[in-house]
Amino acid sequence: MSTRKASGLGMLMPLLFMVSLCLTGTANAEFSDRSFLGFTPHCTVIIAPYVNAVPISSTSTELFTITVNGNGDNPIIEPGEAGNVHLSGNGISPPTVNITTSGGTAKASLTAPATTSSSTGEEYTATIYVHSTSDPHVHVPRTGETHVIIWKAQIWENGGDITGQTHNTIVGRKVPLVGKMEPDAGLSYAQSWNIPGYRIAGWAASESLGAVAELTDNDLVADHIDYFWVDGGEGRQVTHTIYYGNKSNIATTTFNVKRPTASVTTETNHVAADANYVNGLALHFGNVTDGDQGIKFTQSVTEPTGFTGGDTEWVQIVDATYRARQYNNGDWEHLSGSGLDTEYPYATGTTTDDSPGTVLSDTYKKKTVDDYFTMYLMYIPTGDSIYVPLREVSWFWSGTTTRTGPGTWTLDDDSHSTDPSDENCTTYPEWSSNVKDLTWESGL
Amino acid sequence: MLEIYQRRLLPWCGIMLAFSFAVSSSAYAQASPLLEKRGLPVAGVILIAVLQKTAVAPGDQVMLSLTMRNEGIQPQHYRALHPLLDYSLIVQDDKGQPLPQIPFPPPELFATIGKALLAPNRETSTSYRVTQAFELNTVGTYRITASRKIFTPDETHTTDVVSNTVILHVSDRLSSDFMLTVPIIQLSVVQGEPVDMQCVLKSISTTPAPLTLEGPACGYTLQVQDFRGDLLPPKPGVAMAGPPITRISLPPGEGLACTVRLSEIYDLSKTGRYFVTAMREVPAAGGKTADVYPPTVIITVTAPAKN
Repeated sequence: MSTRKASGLGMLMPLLFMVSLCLTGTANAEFSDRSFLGFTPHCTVIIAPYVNAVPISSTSTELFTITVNGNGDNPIIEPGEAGNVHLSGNGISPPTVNITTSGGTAKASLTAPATTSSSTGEEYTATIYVHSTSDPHVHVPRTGETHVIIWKAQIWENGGDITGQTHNTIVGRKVPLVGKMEPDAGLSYAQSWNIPGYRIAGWAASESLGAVAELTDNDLVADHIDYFWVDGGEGRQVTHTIYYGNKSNIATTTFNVKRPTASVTTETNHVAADANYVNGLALHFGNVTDGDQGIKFTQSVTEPTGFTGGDTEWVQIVDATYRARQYNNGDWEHLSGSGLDTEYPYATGTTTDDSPGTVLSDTYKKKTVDDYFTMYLMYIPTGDSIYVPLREVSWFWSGTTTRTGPGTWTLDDDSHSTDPSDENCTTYPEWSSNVKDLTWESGL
Repeated sequence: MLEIYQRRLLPWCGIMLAFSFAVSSSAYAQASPLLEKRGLPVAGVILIAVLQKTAVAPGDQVMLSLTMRNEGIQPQHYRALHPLLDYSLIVQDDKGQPLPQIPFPPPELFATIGKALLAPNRETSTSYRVTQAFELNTVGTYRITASRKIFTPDETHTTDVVSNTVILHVSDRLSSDFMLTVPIIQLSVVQGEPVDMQCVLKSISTTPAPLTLEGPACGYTLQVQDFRGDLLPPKPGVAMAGPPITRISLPPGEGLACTVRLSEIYDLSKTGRYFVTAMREVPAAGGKTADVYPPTVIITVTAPAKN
């Protein structure tokens, strides 16, 4: 938890409002002749009302207590006498009074439950009547006023209080929440957020780097938090808890996080070692011409009711590639690694395809390919949003070819996914390299 | 290189020489008819080229970031194989002569798409290892322009989208004691608003470094290029101003930030993209000097919103 120092309203600052009648006097004191009490003349009575706990939820009946001290020469506060101790203010039930005396201190604790009509920033006045056993004839009321700050935690979004409300949102759309103590009393307090579901701070993607920014511990104790849900879910209760003193208060907002329904279908071709390829003679998985692609992806996305205008993109990761080539002198080289597949994004639109391959030439006598891919269908809603993954398709192809003569190659063996199926996906593609930058290394 | 080195002779002459460079830039455009289409949209598609490092030492790798964006209203299509096959580069030397391309082995193909879609307001980005295809080991200034083919609407032919021209400095004077960074590398401003660029010069030297801050550009030599890559001249009179000089000592590890109000030096009143590079001369060992360059800053000037 972090501590927040809020700018304050000076008028609500005196939580511990010491009313020192004998030494300083106050505007709240309604008496001046302390001799009535028979106290010692130098400092006879201090009535010091103060508040030692003040959180009240607008929806609960949480108790709070005001404690009023009366110090002096055998002071007493008699609960049995009507009006000895009372509490005034709006929206509060009659208090339960507990009076204790110890030495020169009499303490009246007023415990009262808030009611649903209690409002934040409410001010209450505590009045006690103190008389001294040293002079039973003296019975003069001492009134001390204190400000009880009835505060509560709130959750705001886009300039409005959404505490207690239920909101619909969609995966990928920024949720900008602000946690507040209401009223802003200038108090230093700690706070924390609890946000269920898979939520992140962001996702950055370029042709060289794709990385998720998770929400940090610091994010979850700040008064402002911006995040994005990746997975959907109904009835997610986001809470913002404020901790002040030994009390806490929780604000809750419920989110129904919608997610598009989506599917990706695939259609695969076959592996060949021939010249029917975009870049000439090659060991390849299909070709780029329409209908001949190695693998073709077709997506269907239906946005949830109330959400329209989103967009999609394809991102493909090479999970692993191992390609090898043998020179005519028998030496081998290999190329291996993983990373983003060439461009970011891979493509846009409802369909895309891939026909990977490796060019063959008479420089080599053998070539092998073993590639594993995952194609991601990403979705972004309108507004201030990021892409989120919806579906993924894992697929592979492999082949080995041997040169049998000038420009003549035979396919020794091959394998590939056959119309691979898609799966639900809430895990982002991440990468820190690009397979187009892989280089050949000596040996197998 | 000429416009970089002569600027040391006179404060602000870098800007002045940039102007003369811009005047003669038509000679560069004559190297290929393709260059006449520099920076222009084709069917709404533009190609933006930015060097990942605007200055490198001889032998260093040169990476060019390429972003193809559809700013039109119709979807466009393109073939995607590999940047080395998808993009064509024209690299010209100081004299405007195109450099021959080095034969490179066919790249391994992973993402091979016969007809990729580029929807309106979408872009695709990649990088091109320029030094894989061109010899850039000689000290000098090079101008690099990229192009990529997209399909015509009937998809039976292709047409070239040509990027802006970027300027690469291959220098043996690069400082190892300083880093020059720009906190914001992409900036969008509304037409008529002031345009500021902040540069942060950080000393990674072990000793305090004496520096001079000259005039509104803080001692930087600026190059501002328009959407085509042509250098903009400074506003009349700017280069003639007698700049005050402040001398400071930059402690090791410390950074010195300076904000340059570009719009007071250059006419950035037209909407479109501008590419800004800066260079600064810094002390080097043995009483010599060296140069530092930050990344290119892209400024997009947009028209005010209509009420």
